[in-house]
Amino acid sequence: MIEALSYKFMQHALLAAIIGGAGCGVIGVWVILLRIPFIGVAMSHAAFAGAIVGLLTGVSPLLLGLLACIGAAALVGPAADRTDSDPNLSLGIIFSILVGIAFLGMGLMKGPKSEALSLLWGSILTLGASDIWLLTIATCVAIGFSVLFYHELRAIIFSRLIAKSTGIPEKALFYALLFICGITITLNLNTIGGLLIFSLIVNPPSAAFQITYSLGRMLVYSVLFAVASCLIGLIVSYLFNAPTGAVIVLVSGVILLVSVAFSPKRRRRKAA
Amino acid sequence: MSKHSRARSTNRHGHPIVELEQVRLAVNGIPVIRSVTLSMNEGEFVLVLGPNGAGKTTLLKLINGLLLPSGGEVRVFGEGLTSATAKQIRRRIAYLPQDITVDTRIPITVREVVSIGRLAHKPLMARFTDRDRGIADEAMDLVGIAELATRPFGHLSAGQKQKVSLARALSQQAEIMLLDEPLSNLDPRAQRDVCDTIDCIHGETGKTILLVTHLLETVPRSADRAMIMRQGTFAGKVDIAKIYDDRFRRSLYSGLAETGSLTGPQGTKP
Repeated sequence: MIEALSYKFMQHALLAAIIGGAGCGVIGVWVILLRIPFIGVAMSHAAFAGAIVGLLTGVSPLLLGLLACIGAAALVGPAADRTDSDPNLSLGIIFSILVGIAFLGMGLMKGPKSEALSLLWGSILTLGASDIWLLTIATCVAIGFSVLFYHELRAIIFSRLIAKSTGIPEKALFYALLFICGITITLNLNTIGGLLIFSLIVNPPSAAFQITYSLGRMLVYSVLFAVASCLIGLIVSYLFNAPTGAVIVLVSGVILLVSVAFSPKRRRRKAA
Repeated sequence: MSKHSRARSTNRHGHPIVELEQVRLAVNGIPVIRSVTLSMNEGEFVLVLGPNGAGKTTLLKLINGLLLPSGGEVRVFGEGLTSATAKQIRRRIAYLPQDITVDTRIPITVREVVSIGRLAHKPLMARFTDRDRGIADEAMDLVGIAELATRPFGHLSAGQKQKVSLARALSQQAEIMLLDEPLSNLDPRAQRDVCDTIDCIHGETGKTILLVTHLLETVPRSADRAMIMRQGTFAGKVDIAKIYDDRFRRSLYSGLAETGSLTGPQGTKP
């Protein structure tokens, strides 16, 4: 394993695991606390479908993935704003259409589908320097946004109505968050894959949520769990020659199960 | 005399601070508010009593600009409420919505909830200063929850949560407080406790307060006047001196039972 670290591809993979994991860990906290995981799922599949269409048409998969993700945010974001209906039905319809588009695109591709499959499963071992830079930018934007608007976002997760009545531009911040979520998801497609990326956004913050009552600590733990999932997953998959994205997600799932088992909140619920 | 009491003595019976002139609101063509006219002076404490669905919550949302009227005029602080002015006006109004649903496991402490009120006075991305922290601490002191400051919000009882909401409203240092059913879902003892806290806030700060409720058993004692609302309009006013009389309240209840409203022989036109 130590020898493997001398290879450029492995260095890139480690950097991607740390940087991408950190970005997913931060964004995931807001997705969990705003209770919008289904919106995130729809957006991650929009990015995936957009990238597949990009491969099919010869347009940059990254660009089309990003545009599709932003489009999905604009489309499904208002669903979360509506209080008079359950958004899950409309989200379910959008989700199924996006998966249909993605798999239709894959079916129409001629020749080897390795690029499309790498978007599906991720290909962290093939990332180049430019991919790492893009990941770095996305993660910096996610962390910067969370730090700069920390108090406002905390008010929004407490109650969007109270945030609005206090004069906080809650709608603008909510949509900015969806937009940043979209960027983070799209740029992590190559790392972990379109089918699995959202697990990395949901599992680490859910694990962090179980073990702390402090938002600041939840952000830190979420990042640590996401980075640990990526690093452990990368190493295990390298040692056992297993698909990296899948192992990363499984590791994040194990961390979540352990945190649930030792959760003081769970003990409190039982006692109540 | 505390500084809040001093503030009250100068504000009491001041100039009109909230004015609604024949305000109407229809949602999807259905009238929710029908020609409501109301004037509140600075420092005044008004109760609006009415059954569920009377339009009380909508009335509050019209005053703080969360909703804009279909007709008539809303003036707050002497300024007409429009989509352009609503945001600035809203910062000067503390609003306690009814029944906010907060996940009991949400990672936020009592002090952090109270501090949300300070954001009304801060530009985006600003940090809290010692002054902000001091104001939040003072608000918690006033409502008697200082010892809960570091507790997770989700661990509190319903009555304690309502007091935290009142402290949040106080830390906003708003001139007007709009309280939407602050006593619902509380047991009788907690209702009395929250009522006493509201009386204490009004007595100490002299803030203009509009409280809407469908409960009559327990109402704050420091209110200046009470109105009855039903079917989207004011149906009468109640003699505030009588509202604390059990027999009178029972007669209001029987009026409600018989007519589906709180009007009856006791109600008079405002």
